[in-house]
Amino acid sequence: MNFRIGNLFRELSYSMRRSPSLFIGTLVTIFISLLALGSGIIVGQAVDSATERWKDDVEFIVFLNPDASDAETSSVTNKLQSSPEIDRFTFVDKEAAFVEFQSMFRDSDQIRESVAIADMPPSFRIVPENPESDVVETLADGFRDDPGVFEVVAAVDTIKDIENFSDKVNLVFLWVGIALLLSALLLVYNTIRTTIFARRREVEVMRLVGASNWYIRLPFMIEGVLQGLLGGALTLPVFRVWNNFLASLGAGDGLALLADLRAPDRNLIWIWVAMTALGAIIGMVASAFALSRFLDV
Amino acid sequence: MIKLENVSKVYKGDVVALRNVTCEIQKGEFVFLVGPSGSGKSTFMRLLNKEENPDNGVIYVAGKDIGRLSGWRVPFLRRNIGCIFQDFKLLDNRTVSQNVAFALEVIGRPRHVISTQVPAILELVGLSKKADNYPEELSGGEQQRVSIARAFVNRPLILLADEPTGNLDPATSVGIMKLLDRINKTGTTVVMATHDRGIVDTMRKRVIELDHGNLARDQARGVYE
Repeated sequence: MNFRIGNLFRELSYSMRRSPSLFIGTLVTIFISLLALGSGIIVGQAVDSATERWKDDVEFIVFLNPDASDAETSSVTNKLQSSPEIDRFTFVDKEAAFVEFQSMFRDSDQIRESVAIADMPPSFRIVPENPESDVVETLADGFRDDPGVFEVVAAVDTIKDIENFSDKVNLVFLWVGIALLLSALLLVYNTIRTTIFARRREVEVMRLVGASNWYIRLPFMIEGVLQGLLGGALTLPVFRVWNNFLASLGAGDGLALLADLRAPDRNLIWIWVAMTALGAIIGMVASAFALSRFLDV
Repeated sequence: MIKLENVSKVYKGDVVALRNVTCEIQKGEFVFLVGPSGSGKSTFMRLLNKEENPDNGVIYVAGKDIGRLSGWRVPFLRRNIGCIFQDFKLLDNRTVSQNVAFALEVIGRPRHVISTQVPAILELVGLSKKADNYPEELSGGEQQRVSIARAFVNRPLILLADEPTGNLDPATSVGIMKLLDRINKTGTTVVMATHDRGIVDTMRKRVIELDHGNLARDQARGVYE
């Protein structure tokens, strides 16, 4: 495969100059579809990160004092074991609490560095038989005044609402994203098809003088991939705005129990990389499909 | 250089383009392919550069059975075969020299080779002064010269000309034929399909006549009919 990069770019810029509206329209559709998919993932991750302590049906948490004695700890354990209203519970010791804390505040070095393992309160994560909120509330109250207990928090309705809301939002984003991705696929396919048609004379001459199949195909292929890549790349700033908006929601009074309603920055980059790669794959698949149908080499 | 053995080609609807054609063309020969429209001349040419494949028979080009050529090697076959057409097939948005250079660029020839070969071939076809003109600024005869320059700039072993004078007046046609004759004298095998009785009768080259896909006549130093 012998060709010069300069030639390749000349071929490539041809279709962008020839029909910019088609090129831009395709780009925008890819952008919006990837934005929808990525936003769904961000909402899901933000909620997961904020409600990490409440997964696996945990309804209330009993935090012990960091300096609670072994006797105090085993007294609470015995109370939990003997209560018929408790389905199951898990004990999170200081070390595990520290790891969880570090993960919850992974984007804030200042907060993470301000605590040591010794400062962490051990806790019991409790799943009652009956998840009704007033039953949970009564149960939780029963531990509040026990010796060694620092605080008891229940999964208030807000958290459940947020989890439900997040599931629904995810589903909507997912389906909108998939529908838009399909139309992006068709648009790339049509763009490439139009480009092939506009350049049929050149393609014909290239074939006649013996240009290799890849020399002929590559510019079309790259055009499709480039549209996908650009569409994906543009999502990052919007993802950031979106994530900050979520964080501002989490800062409201009703959600004070939530650590931080936002996707971790590190994950944001990964979501962006994944969306950009997905865009490139879509561009490649669509152009390969168009080439196999409309370009006879 | 070219050898056909019992070659047949039938299109959809039982349209017979070629039927059991066997013939051999030596290196450096100049051959006219004559016959009425639909007699199989164009199919004959298209089979030689593997734009189509025969239904039966074997075709050898430069000693190779091109039926056994895998897809990725077809471009290399085509680099040895120049093609010119009645409608020139020039690129309107490129100048004369860019049109010729295009043929070298797309097969990856280095820039210094292109910059020496393009002016040389334009000199050969007598278009040095029009190098920077666009095709639409040229006469039909000049456009055909550009197309010949493009087909020949890579020094192919074979030149296929499908009615190259079909759109040109008789005087211009003579100029084109002189050019093809010169190219033939350099050792390039020329196969030219034509309806032009005057040209065939004047040049007195080998004539292969096709009729409804059958090889009707193969005559050295022949005439049109």
